[in-house]
Amino acid sequence: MLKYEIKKILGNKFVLIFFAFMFLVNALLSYYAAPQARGELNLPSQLDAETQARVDAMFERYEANPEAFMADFTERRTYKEKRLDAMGKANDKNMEAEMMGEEANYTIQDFWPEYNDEIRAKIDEYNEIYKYFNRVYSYLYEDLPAIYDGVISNAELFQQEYIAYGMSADSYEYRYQSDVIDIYSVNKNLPIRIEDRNGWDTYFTYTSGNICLILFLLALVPGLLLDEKKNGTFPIIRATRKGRIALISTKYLTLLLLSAFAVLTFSATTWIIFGIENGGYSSLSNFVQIFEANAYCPYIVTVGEYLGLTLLIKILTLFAMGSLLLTVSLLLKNHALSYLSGLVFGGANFVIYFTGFLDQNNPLRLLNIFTVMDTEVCFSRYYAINVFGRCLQYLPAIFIFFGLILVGSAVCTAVLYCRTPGVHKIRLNKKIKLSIPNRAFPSLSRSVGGYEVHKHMIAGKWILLLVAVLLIKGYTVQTTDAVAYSFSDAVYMDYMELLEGEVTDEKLAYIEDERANIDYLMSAEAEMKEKYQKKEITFAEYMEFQDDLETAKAKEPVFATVEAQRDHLLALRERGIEGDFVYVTGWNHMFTRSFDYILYAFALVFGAVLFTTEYGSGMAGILRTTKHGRGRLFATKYVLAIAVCGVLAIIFGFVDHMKMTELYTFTSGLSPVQSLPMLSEIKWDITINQYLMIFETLRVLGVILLGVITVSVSILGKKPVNTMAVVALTTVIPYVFRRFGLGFACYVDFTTLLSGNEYLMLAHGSVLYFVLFTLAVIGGCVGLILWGRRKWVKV
Amino acid sequence: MLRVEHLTKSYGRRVVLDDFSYTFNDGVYALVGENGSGKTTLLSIIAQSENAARRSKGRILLDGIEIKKEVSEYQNRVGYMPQRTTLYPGYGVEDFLMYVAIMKGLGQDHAAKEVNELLEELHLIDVRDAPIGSLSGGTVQRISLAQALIGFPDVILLDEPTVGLDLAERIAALNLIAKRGLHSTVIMATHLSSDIAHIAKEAVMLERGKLVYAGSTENAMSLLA
Amino acid sequence: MFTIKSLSKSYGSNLALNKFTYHFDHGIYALLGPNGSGKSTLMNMVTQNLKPDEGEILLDGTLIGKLGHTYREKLGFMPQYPGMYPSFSALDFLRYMATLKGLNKKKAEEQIDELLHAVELHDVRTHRIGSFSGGMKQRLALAQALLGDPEIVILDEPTAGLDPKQRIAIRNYIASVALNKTVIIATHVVSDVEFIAREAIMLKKGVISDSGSPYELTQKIDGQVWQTVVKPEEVQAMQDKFRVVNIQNGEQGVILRILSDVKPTEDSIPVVPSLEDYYLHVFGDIL
Repeated sequence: MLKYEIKKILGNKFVLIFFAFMFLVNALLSYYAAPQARGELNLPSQLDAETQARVDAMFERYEANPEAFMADFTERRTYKEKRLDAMGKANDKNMEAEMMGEEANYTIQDFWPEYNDEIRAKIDEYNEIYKYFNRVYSYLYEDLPAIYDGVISNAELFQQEYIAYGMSADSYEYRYQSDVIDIYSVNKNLPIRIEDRNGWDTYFTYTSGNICLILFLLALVPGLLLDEKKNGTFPIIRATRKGRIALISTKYLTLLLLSAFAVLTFSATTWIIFGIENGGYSSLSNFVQIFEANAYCPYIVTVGEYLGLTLLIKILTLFAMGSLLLTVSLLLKNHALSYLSGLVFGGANFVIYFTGFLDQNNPLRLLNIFTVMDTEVCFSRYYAINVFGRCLQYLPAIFIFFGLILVGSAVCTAVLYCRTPGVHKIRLNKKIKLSIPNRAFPSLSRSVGGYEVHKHMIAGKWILLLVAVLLIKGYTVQTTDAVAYSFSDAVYMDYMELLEGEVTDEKLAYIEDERANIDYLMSAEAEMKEKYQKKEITFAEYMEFQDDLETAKAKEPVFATVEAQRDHLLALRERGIEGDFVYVTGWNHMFTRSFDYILYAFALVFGAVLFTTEYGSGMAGILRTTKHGRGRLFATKYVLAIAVCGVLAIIFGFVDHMKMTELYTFTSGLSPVQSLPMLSEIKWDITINQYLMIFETLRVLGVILLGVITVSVSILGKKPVNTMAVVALTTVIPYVFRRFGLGFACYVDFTTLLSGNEYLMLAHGSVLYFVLFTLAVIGGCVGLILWGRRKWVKV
Repeated sequence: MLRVEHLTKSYGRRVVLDDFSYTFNDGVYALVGENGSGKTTLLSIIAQSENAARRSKGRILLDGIEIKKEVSEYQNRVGYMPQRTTLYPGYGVEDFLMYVAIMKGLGQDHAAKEVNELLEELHLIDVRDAPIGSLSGGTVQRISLAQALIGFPDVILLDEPTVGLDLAERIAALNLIAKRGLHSTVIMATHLSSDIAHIAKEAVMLERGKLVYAGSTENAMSLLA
Repeated sequence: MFTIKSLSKSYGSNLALNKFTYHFDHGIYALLGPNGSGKSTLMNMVTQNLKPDEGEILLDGTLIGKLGHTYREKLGFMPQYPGMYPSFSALDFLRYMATLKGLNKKKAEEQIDELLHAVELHDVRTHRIGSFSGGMKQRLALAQALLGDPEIVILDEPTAGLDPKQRIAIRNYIASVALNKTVIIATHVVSDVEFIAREAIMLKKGVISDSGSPYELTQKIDGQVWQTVVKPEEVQAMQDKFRVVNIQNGEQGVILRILSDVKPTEDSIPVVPSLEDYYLHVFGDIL
C-alpha cells in the first residue's frame, strides 16, 4: 500500500517541482549564509591552507603525547607573559624619560635578562600557531568553568533572595534555580576533549532552511487527501475493504517519511555547503559544549547526539504540523482554501517569530513552529515551564506538545476521513442570485470593448485585485520610513546651501579656503599640544582649539565629497558642460529606485488571463467563429491591457513621487542633469527635471510593454501558469543573476527598463547596448503581437 | 450547400484528417466514428475556429464561394458548438447569450428577441438569470447549444450536443436541432446511436481521418455494431 | 438477496429520495430517471458514501452497517464521473485496487488480465492513465468495479462517453458476468439496458413511479405510440399539440413519432412501443 502512496506523490508534478524548487532555494540560502556564519558567531576568519596545515599538525602533536605538548605549551605561554610584563615595564620607563626630556632607551632585557632569540622564536610561534590551541584551552579550562560558576552562584543568590522574601523551597522558582545549579554543576565536570573544534557551531546557526521545509509541507499536505476527492477516485477507493482505516494509516506513514526525507536531504545539503565553506567539521563524539555558542547547553550530549536530536525535533514538528493541516484540509474540503489556510497559519507563525513578539521567557514560544524548528530554544540554555510547581524542561515539553497535536489531529483526520458523510455535493438546480448584478452596467454591455471590461473586471472580479493592489501600495508607501537623516547629510546640506547653483569663482575660492582651514587644524594638533604644555596658551584656548579640531574632523569626510563634486563639475566644464552645484541626496534616492515588484506582478498576472480564460473555458473556439471575435476582440484585449497597466503604473508613479518629495528635499531641478555625479554620463542637454520626466515615462512604458508581452505570450501559451512562468523567467532571471553577482547580465535585464534609470545609464554607457536592447524589446513586442495575431486572427 | 474538398490535416506526423471530401445540403448529418477518428477536428476546421483550421490542406466552399476568401461573410452564417465548454461561469445565462449575439454582430433589439425565443425553446427561462457556473452540466450543454443557434446560421456545427442530457432533455434538444435542420445544414458529431437514428437523414462515418461510409443511417448503425 | 427498505434522504427542504423500497435478486436491474431524480443519491447510499436519513439496507438479512468491511468486500462500484490517478498505468491502477480490496495476489493477477481483455485495454495496460481518452477511463473504471468478483455491482452511467461499438461490447460483457451477481445500473440511456435488464425501476423525483420487466412496461403504452408524416410548416403546430418524441426529415416530408392516447392525425399509424417511449411517457413532461 505504501509504495502506491509514494507513486501517487511522484505523479504529482506540482509537489515534485515545489520540492525541487525549495531544495534549490535552501541550497542557495545555505550558500549565502555560509560565509557569514563565522561572523555571526564572532569567530575569526578561516586560515589559509598553509597555516591551517601547521595548526592541524600541532593538534596532532597534542593528541599523540598530551603531557609533553602541554609542558611545551605552558612554557611558551609563560614566556609570552613574561615578555609582555617586561615590555610594559620598559615602555613605562621610556615614557617617563621622554616626559622628562631624558634618553628613552629601556629594553626588554633590562627587566628580563634571559630573553634571547630562541625564546623570541618560541613566542613568535606561539603567537602564530599555538594561540589557536590556547583559544580552546583557555576556553575549556578558564572561561567555561567561570561561566558555570557564575551561573551557579547567581542561582544560589536567587535562592537566598527567595527565602528572604518568604517563598518556600517547594516553589517553582526555587526549584528552577535548584535545577540550574544541578545541571551546570554536572556541566562543570564534563570531560570535554581539546580539539580543533570547527564547523558544527556555524552549521547550527543556519535556520533559513526551516522556511523551505515548512513551505514544502504547506504545498504537499492539502493534496494528500484532497487530490483523490478532486480527481474522482475517492468514492471508488472508499468502497473497498482497505479503503478507510488502512488507507489513512498508510497516508500518515507517507507523510512521516516525506517529512523525514525533506529534513534529511535539506540538512545534508546545508551540511555539505557549510563544510566546504568553513573548512570541514570536527568530531561528532565530543561534547557539544566544546563550542562557545553551545556553552550553556543544559544537556549532556555529544555533537552527534545534538545533531540527531535537532533533526528529530524538526521531523516531529513537521509531521505534527502536517497532521494538523490534514485535518484542516478535510474540514475545508477545498484545495485553494487549504493552501490559503496553510499560508495564513505559517505566515502568522512567521510574523510572531520574526518580530520577536513573544519574549524569551514566554513558554508560548513553544507553540511557534519556527521557534521550535530552530531548536535553539531548548538547547541554548536551561528553560522550563511551570507545571503545578514543578519544572518541565522545554525539550520534553516540545515532544509532549507536538505529540499531543499529532495524536489529536490524527484521530480527527481518521474520523473525518472514514465517516460516511451526511451531505453529498450534488448540484441542485436552484436559482441563485448573483451578488454583483450583471445588469448593473447596461450601457457597457453593448460594445465589444464594454463587454471586455465587464467580462474581466467585473464578472472576472479583477477590479477587486486592482483595488487590493492599490491598497497594498498605499500601505507599503505609508510604512516606508525616511532614511534617518544622518549627521553627515545635515553637514552636506549646509555646504550645499552655500554652494548651490552656478559654479562661480567665489565659490571655488570658498572651497579652497575651507580646505586650507581644515588642513591647518588637522596638522596643528601636535603644535598646539606643545604650546599648551609650554604654557604658551591657556587651557580655554586649547579646549577651543580641540573643539574646532573635532568639528573639522567630523566635517572632513563630507567636505571631501563636496570637493569631489567640485572636481566633477570642473571636469564637466572641460567637456563643455556648465554644471551646477546640486544637493544630490534626494535625487540619488529618486533615481536609484528599483522596479516596483507589485506592478510587475500585477502586469504579469493580469496580462496572462485576458486570452487564457477564453482558451480554458472553450470560448475561444466559439468566439473565433463570430464576426467580431477575431480582429476586434484581439485589439480590444490589448487596449484593455495597455489601459489598465498604464493607468496603474501612472498612479503608482505618482504615489511614489509624492512619497519621495515628502521624505527628501529636492532642489535645483533646472540644473543640467550632468550636475549629478551619478548621471554625468548622460549625453543629452537636458535639465534634471526633464530627466525626471523621461525617467518616470520609461517606468510606465516598461510596465505597459510587460503587459503587452505577457498578453502576446498568453496567446501562444494558452495557459496562465505557463505564460507567467515564461515571461517571468525571461524578464526576471537576469535580474536575479545580477543580484547574485553576475553583473554582465544587466545587458539582457528587462527590469532595467522597468526601473528606468538603469536603462538610461546603460544606454549612455554603451550605445551598442542601447540600440540592441531597445530593438530587441520593441522588435520583440511587435513580433510577439504579430505572432499572436496570426494565431488568433488569421485563418 | 457546403462542399468540403480534399481536406487534410496533420499534427506533426499524426494524420488526423485524410483527404476528406463531401457535399452537405440542408438537413441533419450525423458525423460518426470512434473517439479519435477526426470528428472534432473536421467540425473545428469547418467552423474555422482555433488552430485546427491552420495549415490544413483542401478547400471548403459555401454556396460555391471558398470560405477563405470571404471569411467575415462566412462567419455571419456559421454557428459552432464545441465539445465540453464551461463557457463563462460568472455570467448569467441570458447575459451570456446576449454577449454572443452582439459578438456575432446582431443589433441589440434583434438579439434580445432571438435570445428570448431560444431560452423558451430550450427550457432555460427558469434559469435565465442564474450564473452559468452554478448550473448542472446538462443545462450548460443546452446553453452551449443555444449560442450556436443564434442568428439562424446556415451552417450549424455541433460537437456531441446531447452528452450529459437525460433522455427527455435530449429529445427536446434533438427536436430543436431537427427543426433547424429543415432550413440549414446541420452537421452533428455524435456517438449516441439513438441520436443518429432519431433525426439524422444521413450518416457520415470517419475512421482514422478517412471517410469510410456516407449514406443511410440504418446501414451506418449496422456497420457500427 | 439485496434488500432496500424505506430509504430516504433530504437536502435541506429538498426530498431527494422518498422511502425507496426494493428487493433485488441476481441479475441486471435498470434504475431509470432523469438527472436529479435521486439515482445518484441512491447509489451513493448503497455504497456507503452517503448516510441515509432513514431506512435500511440489508444483504442476506443483515444490515450492511453491521457487516463493516465484509460488505465492502462484496461490493463493486463505478461512480458517475470516475477518476483515477493520471500518473498510474492501467495495470498499476488495477493492482492497487486489488491491494485495497485485499485480494490474493495471484488470483488478482489472473482476474486483472481477464478484465483488461474484456474491456479492450490489454494492449495499453502499461500506458499512463493520463494519456487515456474519456472512453478508455470509463472502461478501466468498469474493470475495477468487477475486480474481485463482487456480489453486488453498482454502475452509475457506465456507458456515457463510449462510442456505439464499445457500448455494445460493454453491454454484452456486463450481461455475461451478471449471472450470479446483483447488478444495478443507473442510467438514462434506455437503449443500453432495454435488452439486458430483467427489471427496470422508474425513479421520478425520488419515488418509484413504476417497475417491472421491460416487456411489461412497454405493454402499458401499447397503442399509444404513433408515426405520421407532415409538411415542414406543420411541425411546430404538431409539437404544440402533441408529445413529439422524434422528428426526421424523410422523402415525403417530415416523419414524426408521437406519444398520444388518441390518434393524432388521419394518416397516423401505430408503431411498436420501445422502452424509450415508455420512459418518455413517464418523464417527457417538457415535450
